[in-house]
Amino acid sequence: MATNAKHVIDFDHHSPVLRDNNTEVFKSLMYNEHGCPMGWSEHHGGFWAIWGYEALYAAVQDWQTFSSGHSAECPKGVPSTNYIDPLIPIDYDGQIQQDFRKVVLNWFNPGHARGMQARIQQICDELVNSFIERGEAELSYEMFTAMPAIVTLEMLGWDSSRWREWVDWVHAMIHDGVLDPEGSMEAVMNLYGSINKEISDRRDHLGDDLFSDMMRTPVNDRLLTDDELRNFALLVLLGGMDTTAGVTGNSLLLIDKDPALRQQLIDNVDQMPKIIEEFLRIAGPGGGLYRRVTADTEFFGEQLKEGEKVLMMFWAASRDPKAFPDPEKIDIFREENRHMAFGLGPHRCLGSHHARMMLSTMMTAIFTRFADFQVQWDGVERFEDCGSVYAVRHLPVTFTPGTRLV
Amino acid sequence: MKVWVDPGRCRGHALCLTHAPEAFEFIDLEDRSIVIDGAVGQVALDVFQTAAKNCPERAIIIEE
Repeated sequence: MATNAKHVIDFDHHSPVLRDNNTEVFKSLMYNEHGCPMGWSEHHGGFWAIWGYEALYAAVQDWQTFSSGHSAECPKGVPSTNYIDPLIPIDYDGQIQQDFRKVVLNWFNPGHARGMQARIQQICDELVNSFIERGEAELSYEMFTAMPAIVTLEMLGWDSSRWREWVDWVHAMIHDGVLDPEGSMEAVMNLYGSINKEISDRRDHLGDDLFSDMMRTPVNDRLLTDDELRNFALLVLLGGMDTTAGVTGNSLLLIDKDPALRQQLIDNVDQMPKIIEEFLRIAGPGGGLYRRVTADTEFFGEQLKEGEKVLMMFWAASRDPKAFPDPEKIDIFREENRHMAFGLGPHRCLGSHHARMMLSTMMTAIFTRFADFQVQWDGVERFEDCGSVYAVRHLPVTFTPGTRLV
Repeated sequence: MKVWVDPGRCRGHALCLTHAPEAFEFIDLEDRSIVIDGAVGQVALDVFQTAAKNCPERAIIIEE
């Protein structure tokens, strides 16, 4: 127990209550009588949760106090994650974390994402072509789960036709860590083994792809070890495959319930690159991202102790009324939107530029090609545990059949 | 008027390029944005202000 925590909350981010009622849960956290931007929960061995925008902004900038480090002795996560090795670069701090990021900056930048726009559009067109004449689709596997998985594998230079297999392992690792630790660990081992095979297959014939660049680019005058390559590639898969799908599915469910919003999207479809920012704010995939306190610290009125874990609730902070007027209103023309969907500070999501390109491309396709889609709510299935990523597993829709694009 | 991107704060979100592509450019290997040479004076103040209001790191500094 954190001694003398001023604000104690009964909050469990792995609970179905958060999955099914996140707006109400966020409000109950946000509008507490003391105005606290954070609180202490006794669940899962105890942790701090930060949901206030200003407090979270301060915490991410102070990476010395709020460490991202992960090791077998000091595991990240609430409860502790079951994967063993630190992911690169997200589980590191300071200069080495920045050095690791530099290895892939040739790929993860806005110009590269723009360069992939034509290919992303082509993948999107083909996915929609495959179901547009049917008048019904399961949009998760037929569109928004498929798209980022295919793009991620193509960037790595791996066989993208195997995307379902990779996605299933990634889902099990991300979503089942608490519900089914053994199954989740098995998925981690499958990921490790399959990545190791990609490393050995590639060793003697590097190509013109992201993974080859990771293998040939030195960090501080040395090449990445095989273990480091594996831990880096695993993060690319985790970041690439689940989160972009999450925000797309979450957005579509909100739009289905709001006819006026649907019409706004149809009328302003050419503004999609800006409009998606509001969906990233209100329908982001959340993300169980954590820090560990490195030294006893007073922070926003609470006494934090060395070693305590901190849940960084970026998705809640993006709905803080102190930072966003009328935060529960979906306003696609919001003038000031400093949402935290991709995190902030030195760990800002490396894939954010590509994620935005894919989200914008998919939303544009939906609101030009089958804008009258109706969600078949009986078949909607969310991932059971939203503690790591809040996302939709199955999203069946019907719509007026359309024609294939040639 | 002076406008610049604080290199100590910018973390490469690149939202300034979405809101004001005529005013900002990106340095890929430094993972950050800068104001395009000559943009101040050419680009209207409210364009810079929109970019600043949407910078999550609060890195765009405007001195009128």
